[in-house]
Amino acid sequence: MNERYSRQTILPEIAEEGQRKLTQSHIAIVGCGGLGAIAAVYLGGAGIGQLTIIDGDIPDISNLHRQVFYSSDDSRSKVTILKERMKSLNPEVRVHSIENKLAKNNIDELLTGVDLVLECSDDQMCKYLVNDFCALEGIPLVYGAIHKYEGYLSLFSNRNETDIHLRDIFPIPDLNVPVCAELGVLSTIAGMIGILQANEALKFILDIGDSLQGKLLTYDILTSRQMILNLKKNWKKDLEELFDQCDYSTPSSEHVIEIELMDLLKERSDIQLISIMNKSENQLIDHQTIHVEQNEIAILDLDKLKKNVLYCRSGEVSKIVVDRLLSNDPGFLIYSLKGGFKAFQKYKNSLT
Amino acid sequence: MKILCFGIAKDIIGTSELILDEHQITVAQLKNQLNEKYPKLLEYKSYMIAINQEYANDESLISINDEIALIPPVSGG
Repeated sequence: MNERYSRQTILPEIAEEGQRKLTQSHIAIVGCGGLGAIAAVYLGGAGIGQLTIIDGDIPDISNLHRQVFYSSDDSRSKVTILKERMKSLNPEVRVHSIENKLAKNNIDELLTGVDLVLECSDDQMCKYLVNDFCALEGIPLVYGAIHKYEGYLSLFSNRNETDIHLRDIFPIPDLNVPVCAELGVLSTIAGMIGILQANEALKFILDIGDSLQGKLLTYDILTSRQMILNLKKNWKKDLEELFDQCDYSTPSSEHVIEIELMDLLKERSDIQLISIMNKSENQLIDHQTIHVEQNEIAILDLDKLKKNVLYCRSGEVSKIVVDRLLSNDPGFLIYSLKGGFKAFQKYKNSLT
Repeated sequence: MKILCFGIAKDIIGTSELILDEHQITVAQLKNQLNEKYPKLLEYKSYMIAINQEYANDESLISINDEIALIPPVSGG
């Protein structure tokens, strides 16, 4: 008996046979943020034989409240840090770290052959890419998503064509859905849904308990209320045809123009910088910067003679806000700063 | 009928629980009513409706004592 797992193999439903199932399993985790990092560590601790962790980012200080396995002073990639953490927790686990974003051109190579996938990204198109691929390839998928104080969780076992998957709940991606960076999220909901995803994966592999196959669990941490909704088969279209046609990249709105930092620095005269970061955070450059709450920006009386440049921390949220502004009034002369405040920090560091 | 709001729907409607004084309507009629009262809901194409914790189609009938859940997509991670 392996002492490491003795507290779980002592459970009669698991025993040595269950532990063998865990050891023989290969799980892939897509996205190592608030959901994925915590799920990965729990699955590693429980003795999943192989874990593939996929994420192309480095930790960002504004995410560390919920991504508690990273450090404030470690700028290596998330998957590198996470792999190190998992290796020190449980050296018996084989960890494959993929420092890249999952996309249509690498999903086949990265997910084919795994026994189960945890979708933990914060990217709507990625959630649909993983859903469609897993449904077509028959790979069980644990779905999780969070919003402010709430989380959703489900298991798509993908054993038969009649099994329920994400498109039965929400048939098409909805790019208006805001992300954590826009609306905020309390750290604990990420931890809870991440652990529940790991839990769903363990139950599925061990074949114990009642799975969330065909059900959607919603959890609200403000009221401690959870609901389990029974789902129905709703998607009737040909998934394979859709998969072939869709490239699953987030369509960047054609009217949003991103301005490069270098171009911005050169062109100093007629620019109005607008920050949608927290007021306490730094001003970008010596231009006069206006701070605006994202939700209030629509009523801003922009100076139409100036070139208005909106920036956020990473350049992603500002793109969305610029898109919204332009859809209301295409006449705005408004741009999104590519790479956001982070691009400026990088530029500043390169000077010293 | 009681409507429980989740995700962005809670922000748009401004409460997590809404009481509607209707005796019997279809899901499609409910959606129309809500969309009219809260036009921002129209920005979210594919919200799901459940009646008494069961997935409901547009044709499903809602009675006065039913508990409705309004579940929009969520994408954080």
